Amino acid sequence: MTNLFYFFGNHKRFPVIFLTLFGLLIFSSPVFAQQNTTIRGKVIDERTDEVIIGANISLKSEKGNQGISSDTNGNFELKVSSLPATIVVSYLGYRPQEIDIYERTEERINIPLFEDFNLLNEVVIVSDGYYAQERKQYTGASTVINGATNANKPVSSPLISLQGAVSGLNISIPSSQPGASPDVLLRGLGSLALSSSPLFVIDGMITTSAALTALNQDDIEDITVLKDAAATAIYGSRGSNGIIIITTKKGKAGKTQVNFDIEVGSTNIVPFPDAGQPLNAQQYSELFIEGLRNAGTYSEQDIADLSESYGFNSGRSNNWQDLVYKTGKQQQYNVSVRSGNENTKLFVSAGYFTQEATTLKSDLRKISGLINLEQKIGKRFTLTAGLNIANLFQHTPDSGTGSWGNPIFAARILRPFQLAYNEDGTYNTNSSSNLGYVAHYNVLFIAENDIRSQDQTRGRGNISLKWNIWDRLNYTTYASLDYNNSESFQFLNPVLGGGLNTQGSGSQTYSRTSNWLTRNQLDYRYNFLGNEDSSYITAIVGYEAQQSGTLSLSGSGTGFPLTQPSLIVLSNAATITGASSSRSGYSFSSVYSRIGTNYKDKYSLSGSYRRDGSSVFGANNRYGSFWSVGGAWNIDEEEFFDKQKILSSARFHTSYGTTGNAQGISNYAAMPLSSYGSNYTNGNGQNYGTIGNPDLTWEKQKKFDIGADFGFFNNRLIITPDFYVNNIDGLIQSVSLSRTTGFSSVPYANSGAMQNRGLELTFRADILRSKKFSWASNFNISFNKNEVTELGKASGANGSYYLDKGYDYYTYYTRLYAGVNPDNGTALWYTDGTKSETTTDYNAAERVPYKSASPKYFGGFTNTFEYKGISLSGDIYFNFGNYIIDSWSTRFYDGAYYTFNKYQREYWNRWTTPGQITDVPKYIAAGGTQANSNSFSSRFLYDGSFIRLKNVTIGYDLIKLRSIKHLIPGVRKLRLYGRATNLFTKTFDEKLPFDPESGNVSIPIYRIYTVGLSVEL
Amino acid sequence: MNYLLSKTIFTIILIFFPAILFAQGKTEVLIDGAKFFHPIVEKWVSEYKKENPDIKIELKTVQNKIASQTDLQIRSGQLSGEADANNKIVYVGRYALIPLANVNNPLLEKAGKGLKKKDITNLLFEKDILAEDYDADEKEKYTATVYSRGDKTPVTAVLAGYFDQSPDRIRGKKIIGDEIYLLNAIQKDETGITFNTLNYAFDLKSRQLKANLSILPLNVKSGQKEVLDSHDIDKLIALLEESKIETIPVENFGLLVPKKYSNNNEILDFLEWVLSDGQKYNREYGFLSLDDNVRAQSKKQLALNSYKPE
Repeated sequence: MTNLFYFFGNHKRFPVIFLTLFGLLIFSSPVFAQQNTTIRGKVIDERTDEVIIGANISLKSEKGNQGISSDTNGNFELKVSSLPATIVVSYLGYRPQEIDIYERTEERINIPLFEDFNLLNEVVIVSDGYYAQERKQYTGASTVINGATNANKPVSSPLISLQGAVSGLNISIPSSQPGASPDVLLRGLGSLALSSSPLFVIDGMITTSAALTALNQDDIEDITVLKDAAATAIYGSRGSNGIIIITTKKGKAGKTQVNFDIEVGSTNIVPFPDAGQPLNAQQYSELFIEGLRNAGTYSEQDIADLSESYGFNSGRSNNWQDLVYKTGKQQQYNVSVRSGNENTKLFVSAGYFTQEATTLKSDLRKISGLINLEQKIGKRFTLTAGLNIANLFQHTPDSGTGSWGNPIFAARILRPFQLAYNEDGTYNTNSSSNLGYVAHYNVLFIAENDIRSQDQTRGRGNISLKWNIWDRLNYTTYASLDYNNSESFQFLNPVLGGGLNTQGSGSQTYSRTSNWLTRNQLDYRYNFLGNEDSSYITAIVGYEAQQSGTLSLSGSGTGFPLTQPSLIVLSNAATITGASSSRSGYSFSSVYSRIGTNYKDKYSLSGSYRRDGSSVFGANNRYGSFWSVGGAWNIDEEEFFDKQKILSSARFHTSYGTTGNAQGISNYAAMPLSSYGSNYTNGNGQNYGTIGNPDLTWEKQKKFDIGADFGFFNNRLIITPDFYVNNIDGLIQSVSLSRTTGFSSVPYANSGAMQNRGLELTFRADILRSKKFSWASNFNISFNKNEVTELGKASGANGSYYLDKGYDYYTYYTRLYAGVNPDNGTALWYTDGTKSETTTDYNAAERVPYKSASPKYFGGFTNTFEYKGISLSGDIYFNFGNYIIDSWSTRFYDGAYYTFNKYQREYWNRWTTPGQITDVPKYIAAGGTQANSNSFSSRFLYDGSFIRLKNVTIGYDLIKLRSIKHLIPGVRKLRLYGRATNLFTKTFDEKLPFDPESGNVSIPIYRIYTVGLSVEL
Repeated sequence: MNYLLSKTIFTIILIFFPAILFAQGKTEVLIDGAKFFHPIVEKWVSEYKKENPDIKIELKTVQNKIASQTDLQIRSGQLSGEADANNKIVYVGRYALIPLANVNNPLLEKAGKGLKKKDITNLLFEKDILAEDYDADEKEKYTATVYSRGDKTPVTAVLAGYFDQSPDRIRGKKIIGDEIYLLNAIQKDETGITFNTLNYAFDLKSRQLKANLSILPLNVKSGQKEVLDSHDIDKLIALLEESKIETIPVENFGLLVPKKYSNNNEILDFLEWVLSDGQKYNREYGFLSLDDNVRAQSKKQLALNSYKPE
C-alpha cells in the first residue's frame, strides 16, 4: 500500500483515486448489474405474429406506475432497479401477461399476448355528446359502430353504410343519386307530419343528415346510435327519433401515422327484374296492334296507317334502357396524418371522392378536409378545435314525372321506335310526329343540353376549452358553427323539353345556412369508495343555446339565345321572370343535467332532466321539460353468478322517460302568417293566409325500454335483446277547422297519438379463431309494430293509406283485385273486404285497409373471415313484410296508355284466350271497356321483401410477405383489396317490376366494383 | 525505492501480466452453455485435471458470452442442424425434463390416473382455443399456470419440440433468468407447473425432490409410478435410462467442437475421457449416461475427425 501510495505520488489525492477505482470496481460487478438492469423485449400477437404497438409494460410492484408503451415495432426497453421483479404486459383486447425477472439478461425477449376472446371485454365507450361512459356502466340502449368497419366503402354518405349494421335503425335508399341522404328511421315512424329522422350530432354539433354527406367516411372514428329514454332524454325536445352521434378522428400520442388510400372502380347497371323489363320493338308492336284490334274501333287500314306512322315498319328501333343507363366511374383518394404527444394531438386529412351513377347526368364530386387539434395548456386546461370543410358538386337529372324529362321514367315509357338519333347521328328532336316526341322528350338530348347542378360548400368548426377546476370537477365551454353555402343552377334548353315553349329557361338559387351552438357545462365525479374507480357519483349540468338562420335568394328567366348555347346565366335571359328572397330561422335555449351513480360495477342508476325553449312554438307552450330514469344491473358481478355455467356474462338495463320532437316543422308554425304580393291597383296587398296556434308544442314521446346482454362460451357469443314501447302523444298534424273561421285548417296542431313497440335482437359471435383461420359474425334483427292509438280527427283515406285507430300508419287503403274473368278477360275486384263477391265495376268495389308499407322485420348479417392473412367480409341486409306501391302501374299495365312502353309481364300474362287464368286483363288500346282496369288496387301492391348482399370485400396485406416488407421498409400496411357492392338481391314477388328500394322514378341502385390500396406509414 | 523506479516496475508488470500467464503454457479454453450444465462440466474438468495434472489447457466454464467469444459450446436437442463443415458434435450425456408442480397444486388431486402426453400437450400449449372454451369439463381439469423461460432458451425449445409445437406457443407466464428460478416461481404459485432438469429439481445432497415441489402425476405403469412417487433421483435416473416415459422428455447434450480444435489433442483427449471415465459422474450430478449407441457414435466422431453433418 505504501508503494502504491508513493506511486501515485500525492498523499492528498489518494482517497479520491481510491474511491474512483473502488467505484469502477463496484459498478462493473455483476452483483450490482443485477440490481439495475434493462429488460428489452418485443410484444407480438400470438395468433397473427403481428407486432403490438402501444402495449403497456409496467412493473407490478410499483403501484401507480404508468409504465411504458411498446413502440411502432412492438419493442420496449424497461429499466428495472431491483431484482427479482415482475413486469406486466397488457394491451386492450388481450390477456395481460406477467413476467418474473430473476436475472439480468441481454437477450431481447418475445412476449406473445393472447387475444381475449371476450366480446364484452372491448371497452366500449358510449358518449352521448355530453358525457362518456363505459358501456358496462351505461344505463341506456345504444349501439357503437367503429368507423374502421366502414372506412373507404364506396358510398357518398356514411349513413348508407349503416344500413343493416344497427338493430332498430331502418335505413332505406329510395334514390341512389350520389350525395343523396337515405331515409332513416329509428324504432319506427316517429311522427306523421314532421320528420321522423333521428337527430344528428357531429363532434358535439347538433346538425342535419345533409351534414353527414359532407363528411368523409374515412374520417369517422365511431358512430353511436342512442335509442331509449336514458340515452336520448338529455337531448330533450329533439330526442324522440333517436340520436346518431358521429365522432371524427382525433390525433393520438405516439409515432406519426400516415394513411393513404386509393380506390378506383366503376358503377354498373343492376338490370330490372324480368317482370319489369320494357318491351322490345317486336313485342311492343305486337301488343299495340293487338290493343287496336281489341278496341274494336279501328279498321285494318287504320291499324296499318298507325303502324306506319309509329315506325313499326321502319326496321329501326332502339333500347332505351341501353341508352339511359351506362357504366359510371367511381374513385376516391384519402390521405390522413395522425400524430401527437402528451400535450398536442393532431389529425389532418383530405379526401377526394367522385361517383357517377349509372343514370345519365347523375354524379357527385366531393372534396373534403378535416383538422382536429387537441392542446393541453398547463396541467388544467385542454383546448380542442376542429374544422371540417367540404365541397360537393353534383349533377342530378330531371327528377319530375310530369314532363318525362326524367331519364329513369322515360327509359320505361319511351317506345323502342322513338329513336334517340337521326340517321345522320344527330339527336332526334322531332316533336311533331309519332316517330318523335309529341308528349315525351328525348332524354338523351335533355341530358346533354339541360343542366341541373348544385354546388355546395359546407364548413363545420368547433372549439372547446376544458378546465379541470379541482380534482374531478371540470368546466367545459364549447362553441360550434355549421355553415353551408349552396348554389343551385338549372337551365332548360330552348330546343326540346321544358324550355321549348319559353325559348329556354333558367333559374339560380343561392342559399346560406348558418347554424351555431354554444354549450357551457360543469361535470363532477366523486368516487365514494375511496380509490375504487367503479363506485362513483357523476353529475353534469349545462346550458346550451343554438340558433340557425337561412337566407335564400333566387332568380329565374326565359328566352335564351338559341345560337349561343353556352350563354346560360340569367343575364342572358330575355325576360327575368322571377326574383325572390327569403330569410328564416329558429333558436333553442336549454338547460340540461344528468346524474349517475355506479356501485362496484354491479348497479348503475342514471337520471336526466332537460328544459328546452324553442322559438318555433307558441307563446303558451314555448318551454318544455323532458326527463328520464334508467338503471343497469351487471348480474355477472354478483357472487352467485359463478354458480351457473351456461352464461359467461349477463346484464340488464331498463329506462323510462320523455322526449320531444319538432324536427322538420316550419320555423313559424305557431304564428299566424300573412303574405304580401296580393297587389291592388299597384299597391302591395296583404293576405292573411295561415291561422296561428299559440298552443302548439312538441310531440311528446314516452319511452320505455328493457334490454339485456347475455354472454355465452366465455363471451364469444353475445346475445343482446332489447324490447321497447314508445308512446307518442300530441302528434303534430293538420286539423280541419270550421270554414266560418275563414280558414279550412290549422296546419300545425297537437292532435293524435301513436305507439311503436318492438323487439331488437343482436348476436355477435367470434365463431372461430385460430392461427390460420378466423370467422366472426354479427347478426341483428328488429321487429317494430306501429299503431295509431288516437286519431284526433276523422278516420279514412290518407292518400293511398288508411288512417284509423288500431292500424299501422302505413296501412294501404285500396280496392282488392280479384283477377281476370277467364271467359272474357275483364278485370274483377272484390266488392268488399270479405272477398265473397266480385264486380267488374271498379267504382263499385270498396276500399279496404290492406297490408302495410312498414316492414315487419329487417336486419343485417355480417361475416368476416380471415385465412392466412387474406380477409373476406360480406354484409347482407334483409327487409321483410312490407308492401310496395307501384304508383305508375297505370302507365305500364293494360291498354289505357297504349302509346307508352309496358312491363314485360303485361306481354307475358295478358289475357288472350277464353278460359285463360291470369291476372292481367285483355289489352285494349285506350282502355275501351276496360278503362279502369289499370286503376290502383291491390294488384299493384308488391311484396317488398328482399335480401341484399350489400358488400363483399376481399383483401390481403402485402406487407405480410417478407420480400415486400424488406423492399419498402417503413411501410406498416399495404393492403390490396377488391370490393363489390349490391352484388346480389333476392326478392320474393315475381311481379315486382323494379328494385324494391329504388322504385321506377328515382335513380336506381347500382353495383360498384372497386379495387383499392391502403397504405399506412 | 525511488519514485521513478517504482513507477516503471509497476507499469512493466501491468503490461506483461497477460504474457506471464501465457508463459506458463496454459491456453484458456472457454466453455459456455445453459447454466444447469455447468456443474457437471466443472466436475469433469476438475476430475480430468486430477488425473491429468500436466494438461496444457485451462478448461473454464463461462456464462453469457456470445458464441464467437467461447471455444466449446454446450448444446442440447436436435443438433444435427448445427453440425457442419466447421463444427462437430460430440454428445457427452443426457438430461431429463421432469414435469413439476407446487405441492399444493389442485391438479395433483384432479389428475386421477395421471396425465398422458396428450394431456400435457393441452396443458402446455394453446392448442385448440375452441376446445378450451366449449368443453368446460376439460378446461376445469387442466387449470394451471405454466411457467417457462423465453422461447429462444434451450429448455423451452427442447420441450416444445418434444411435443411437436413451436416454443412461442407455450402458454402461461414467462420468467427471465436461469431455469432454477422456474422452481421459485412454482414454489410461490400454487397453480404453477413447470418442466425442469433433474439437477435443479432434486437436492443433489439428500437425493430427494426439493421442498414444496411435486412431480405431476403421470399416466405410467405401476412400477414406474412407484419410482416417481419415491421422489428419489437415483431411482428415477435408473428408470429413465432403462425405459422411455412419454411424458418425460430425455435429451442428449453435447459439445460443439469447432474445426480449429480438430487437431487439438488436449481437447480431444478430454472429450474422450468424458465419454468413458467421465460418464460415472453424470448420475451424481443429476444427468443420465449416454445411450451406448450414441456414445459409440460420439467416440467415432472424435476418431474420424470428420466435420461433416451426422
